[in-house]
Amino acid sequence: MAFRELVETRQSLVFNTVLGFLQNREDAEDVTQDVFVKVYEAIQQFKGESALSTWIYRVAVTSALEFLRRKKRKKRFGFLSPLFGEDNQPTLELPDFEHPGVVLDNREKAGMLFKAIEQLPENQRIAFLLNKLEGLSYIEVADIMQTSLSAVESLLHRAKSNLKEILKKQYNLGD
Amino acid sequence: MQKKYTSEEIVNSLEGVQRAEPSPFLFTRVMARLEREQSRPELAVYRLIARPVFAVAIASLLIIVNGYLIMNRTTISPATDELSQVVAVEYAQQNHSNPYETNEQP
Repeated sequence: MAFRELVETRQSLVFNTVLGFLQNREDAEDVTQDVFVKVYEAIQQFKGESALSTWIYRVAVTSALEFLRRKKRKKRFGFLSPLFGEDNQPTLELPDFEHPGVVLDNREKAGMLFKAIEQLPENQRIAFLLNKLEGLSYIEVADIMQTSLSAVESLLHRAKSNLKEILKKQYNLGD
Repeated sequence: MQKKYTSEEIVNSLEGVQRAEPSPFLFTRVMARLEREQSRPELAVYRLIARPVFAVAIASLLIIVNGYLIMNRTTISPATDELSQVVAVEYAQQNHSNPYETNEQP
């Protein structure tokens, strides 16, 4: 498959996945480009043991998480920058995120949900986003995460109950 | 915050979500980035170092070198001890005077 075709058929898959993690369009565009550069350079290492899309999902998730870790590290050591006169950007919290694909009626609720998703443990966040945002089945999620079906079921169950707890605390919901 | 939604409703708010699309120039940008990276040889070196295979090779090399040094040390030590004993005996046989002894005869 020509590289152009690969990019054009998988770009929305990569972009949407990465956007779910980063919740910022510019960062997601940047990381999406990065994912395809990695795919181009590592395509020889792809052994065909899993579907090409599964492998690309893995690269996308790993790259998005790496980006978030780098950003966190930068923020953590940001206090050192004034000592060296580096002109760093202000370390403000992310503004409210609006996913462009969410139906109009759900925009406000989805905004609240994305804020809560940020606070989930990494594995639960991966499982939840792949299942709810990308619409992947449990089996597909298990393939991407290289884990068992029952592990994914448990991760999603915990993710949902943790999200409810976070939302109740954050927005004072009584239910 | 008004209590107008339940947590269940919020958790299910991604139902029916459509995929977000990237900018239409993604492929051109990817190609530009690839060209930029290929024109920088230092990135190739960095990428080689960052590969897990490289880390495993370095770790194995360190283990082998360490093992070799430890083996050598255990085999050399007794020889060194023997040598020092021979030297000590020879030294004693040469009737060297003890610096702590006085030359005065009783």
